[in-house]
Amino acid sequence: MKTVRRFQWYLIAIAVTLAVMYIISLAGFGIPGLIETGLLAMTPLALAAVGECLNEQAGTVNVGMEGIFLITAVLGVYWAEIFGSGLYGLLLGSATGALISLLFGLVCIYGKANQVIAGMGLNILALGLGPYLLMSIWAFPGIHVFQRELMFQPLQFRMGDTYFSISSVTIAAVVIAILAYLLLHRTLLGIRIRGAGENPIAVDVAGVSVGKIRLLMCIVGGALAGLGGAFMPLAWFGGVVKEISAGRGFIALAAVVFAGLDPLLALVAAFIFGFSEGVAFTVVVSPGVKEIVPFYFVQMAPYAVTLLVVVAAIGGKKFPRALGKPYVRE
Amino acid sequence: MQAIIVVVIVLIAAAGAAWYLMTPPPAPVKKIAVVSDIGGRGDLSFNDMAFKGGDEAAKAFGVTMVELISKSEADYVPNLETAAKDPDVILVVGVGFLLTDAITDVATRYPDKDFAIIDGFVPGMPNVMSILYEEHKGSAIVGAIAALAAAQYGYSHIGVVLGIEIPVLWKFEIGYKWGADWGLKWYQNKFGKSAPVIGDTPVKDRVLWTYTGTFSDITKGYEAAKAMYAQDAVAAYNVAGPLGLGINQAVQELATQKGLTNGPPFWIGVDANQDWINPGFVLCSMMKRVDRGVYFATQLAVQGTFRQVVADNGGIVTLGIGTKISGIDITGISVSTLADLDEFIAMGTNAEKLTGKKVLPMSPDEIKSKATAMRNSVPSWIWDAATELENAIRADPNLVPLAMSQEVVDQWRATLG
Amino acid sequence: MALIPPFFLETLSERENKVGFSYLVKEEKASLGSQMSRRLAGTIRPVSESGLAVVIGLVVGAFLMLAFGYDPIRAYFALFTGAFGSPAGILESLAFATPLMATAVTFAVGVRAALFNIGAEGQMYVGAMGATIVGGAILLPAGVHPIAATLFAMCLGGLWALPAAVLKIWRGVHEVVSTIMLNWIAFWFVTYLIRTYFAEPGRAERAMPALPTARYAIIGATLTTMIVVVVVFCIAVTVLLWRTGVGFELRLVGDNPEAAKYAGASSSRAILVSFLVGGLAAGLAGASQILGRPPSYALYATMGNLINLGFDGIGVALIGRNHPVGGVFAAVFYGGLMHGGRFMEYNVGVASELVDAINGIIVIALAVPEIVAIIRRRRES
Repeated sequence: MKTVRRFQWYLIAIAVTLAVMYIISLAGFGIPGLIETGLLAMTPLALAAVGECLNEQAGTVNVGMEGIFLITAVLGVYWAEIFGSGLYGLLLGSATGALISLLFGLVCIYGKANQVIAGMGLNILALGLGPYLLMSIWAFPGIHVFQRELMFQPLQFRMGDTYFSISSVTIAAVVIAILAYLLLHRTLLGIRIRGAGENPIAVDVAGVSVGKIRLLMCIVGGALAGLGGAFMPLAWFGGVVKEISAGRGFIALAAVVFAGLDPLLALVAAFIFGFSEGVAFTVVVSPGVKEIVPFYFVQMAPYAVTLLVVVAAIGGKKFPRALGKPYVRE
Repeated sequence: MQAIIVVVIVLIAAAGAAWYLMTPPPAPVKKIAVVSDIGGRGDLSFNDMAFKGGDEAAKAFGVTMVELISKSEADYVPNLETAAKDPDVILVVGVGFLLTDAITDVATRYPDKDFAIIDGFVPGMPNVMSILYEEHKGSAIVGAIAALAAAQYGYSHIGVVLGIEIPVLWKFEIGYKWGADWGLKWYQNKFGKSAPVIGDTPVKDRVLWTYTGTFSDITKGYEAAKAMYAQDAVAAYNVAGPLGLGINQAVQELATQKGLTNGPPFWIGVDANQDWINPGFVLCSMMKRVDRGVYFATQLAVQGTFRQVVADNGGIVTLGIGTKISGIDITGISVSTLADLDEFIAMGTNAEKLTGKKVLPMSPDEIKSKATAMRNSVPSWIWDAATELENAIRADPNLVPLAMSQEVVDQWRATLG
Repeated sequence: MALIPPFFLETLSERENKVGFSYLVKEEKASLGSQMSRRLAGTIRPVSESGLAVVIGLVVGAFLMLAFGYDPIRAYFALFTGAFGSPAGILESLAFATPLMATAVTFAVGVRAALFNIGAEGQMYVGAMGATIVGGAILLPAGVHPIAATLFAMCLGGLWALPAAVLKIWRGVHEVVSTIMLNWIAFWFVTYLIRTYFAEPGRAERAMPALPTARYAIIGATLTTMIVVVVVFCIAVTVLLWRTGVGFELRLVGDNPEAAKYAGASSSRAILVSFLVGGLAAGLAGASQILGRPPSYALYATMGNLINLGFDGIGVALIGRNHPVGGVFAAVFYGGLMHGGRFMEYNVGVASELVDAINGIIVIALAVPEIVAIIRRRRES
């Protein structure tokens, strides 16, 4: 019964999205371009959000994703240059994210640290270390544009007389979200993960190490966030600047909460956000719009839309009872 | 007990520090202090240019440059004061108009120190030099170039992506739009007919523009530029520092899809020379030589003529196209040329020598050849028009409108969009 | 709203009689003497834990500096003497600490009700706008002006917190989402107001500055008597939380929602009060930057004076163990870090970005509680 209701929601969401897109295309705006933009903006958000969903289902909160984005963006480019390939940059950037999360996880799970403070500390650390690395690795202020050959090129599909481009990382993000959902709800490991978050005592009694599960999910979360961070320079912009993440780590957090820790909903949330940003800009630069509506309100739109969707469609969500509390065996 | 452990550690640390610090202080050396605006280093814009200028001045005049980064507005006064209190500092430079109040405050309390502020307006103080720039004039020239490119290549719009809406950016916005209008009128005069495609667009709709509200979120630069190119803009003028990277990606996407090696579509760089980021697709850059301003102020401070120049000019030094300050030629605003590109490529190669890593996206020769090829592919009458406008600006300093208040901005937006 | 005043005035003993679960309040009923000694013991432990954590953080930071070739001892000396070594330095550190004390309360009072209120940023922007309106656009006599402007700012801050509270109570919307979105909406809305209605004539990059009659008296370069107001506010919130029925209800709902339900405590009221107090606090923080921060006393269109104070407040609240008075001390420490960093850069040449990184390490270190207990436990096992 619950599964049917959930799929009903997905269908409604898809129907509403298609309707919105139809209306937009009637206004003369190019839908494929907007979808491309939406998918690109969605990718880092979705990867981090899905990772954090898994992390939080197991009971650890990592608010330091913004920090992981920054560092893996810079280091991802660094690795790409050393190994001469964007793919290596993405993979090693992901590994860097996993390593940072491993340390974070050790401090929080075994060191029993307050996870929120540690996460915020991680952000502050990265906001300083990121620009510092950018300066000290390349000695060129503010921006590093790398050789075009290193870019991890998107896939191009012919569409009439133009191309529709989508990055394989984006496709990977969608697949990962689906796999994460299946992991959580269709496997034994998933039950254990959710148990570690909801009722760690039961998991412990069953003989499974709560700490190991949480640490594992922490590493996975970090790997995904690292992939999202490295994606931005290596598979999208072709360069890295000081503040390439610009607060998107926190948007990913909002997506996680919005989705109630459901990876698929988190994916949808990330797309809604990216898409509405693209629409907002398309609307605001169109001639004649500024006379009707000052552009501040158009800029406000993605945030207002997300809030409205949350209020209208999602409402309340339950979170795992042991979220954020280090597990101590009595 | 925990408390005892903490106390013991602190005592040991203090003792060690005291012993260590008994080493004599270093010999005094003349310093200049550069206090940045929020955003600090790496903004690809005036903070970076100011540090570049300070660095060059330091090397040229044998002084040391000390940097102070402001992380919030609350840091301005403490930063300026820290520099002012230091007896070795001969010049304190504040970068950015937001430091106006802070510099006024600190300069009043430290009348023996020399201060300079970039973009700020502090008239009438004997120890403060306000260094202003005529960004509207440079923006007008690139606006004309962009509009003529639209006419040449048959596009219906040009675009500009701006950062946070502050009065300094109004100068860029209105200057650009005015320049586009001038360019199309020039086309009419020169060729006897209205410019194709863009000439048919209503005047108010010709320039697609938006403020993104950020000087750091390059995703927004990408989205704004992509929206502009989707609506048939030939070039987007970057007035938001690092967002140029996002704009560049929007251009690069189109280039990859259509298999182009140079524009159209183009984008236009700002403040620093950004032509090297994607040579062939950056039409030109509107350079605001903050580095020359800082260099100039340091030169005066070292030579001891600082206060004299301040007095001669009422404290306000405006650097623009073809300006002369107290007999010294200083160009504060210019549209990038291939010679400027060489200067920035040299910066890149120096960095590469320092770190052993590639800093430039391709070899210097490739960059130069692509940029040259692009400039040659753009018909010479466009560049001639730009030169004509520049001469007109030199002849009549008030030619390009300077929009510094909401009323004037609204007036111009009513006619030009 | 009529529900609140009588509740507010109820004392603890009256409340507990009503509730009937006296075991929930047994601790509060203990005699004054033993209460005080237990409180003293209760504060020494977290303080020394925080102290040890700071030391650990500094040590790790020192290794980071060594790794990049800087001199950590000189650097820390510059940091501490700069921030706390001179009267001017102390005053400046306090000036940095003032708004943080208030935004820390926003987060802390949320945590006490088991809420994650990270809306201090948006509530602060709106509060600052309020202070600008009354402080800059309206003429009032000199004694009344600062107070009126501050109160108006606080009210606006509280108002901006209400949507998040209402959405939570009515639709169960998690406050993390609602407050983040409201933060951004406030940013754009306030920017719009500054640009269009409240721009200073002739200096369009900012709103009208607070009139001289609305400003607080200056103590030192950028510190004003606003700090007194903020500290008094923190004490008032402490009294609210631990000495009134409303506060007790709030803490009960936060600590033990099941027991609260049986005790007849209203979680809706607790949520409302928590967000309201948090909004008042953030509004006060906004007012402090307009009415109490020389030399500009104005709200810039870029909001450079306010950005991040809300998020920094979260860190401060956590270091202060979510207690308003703890937050005051934590804010002073944090303010010292914020002020002292420039001396590390100026005197020793440590890049300011690295100073940020060290701040982050100290915060992470402060996140690990009972580190001595863990070491002890490991040695025993």
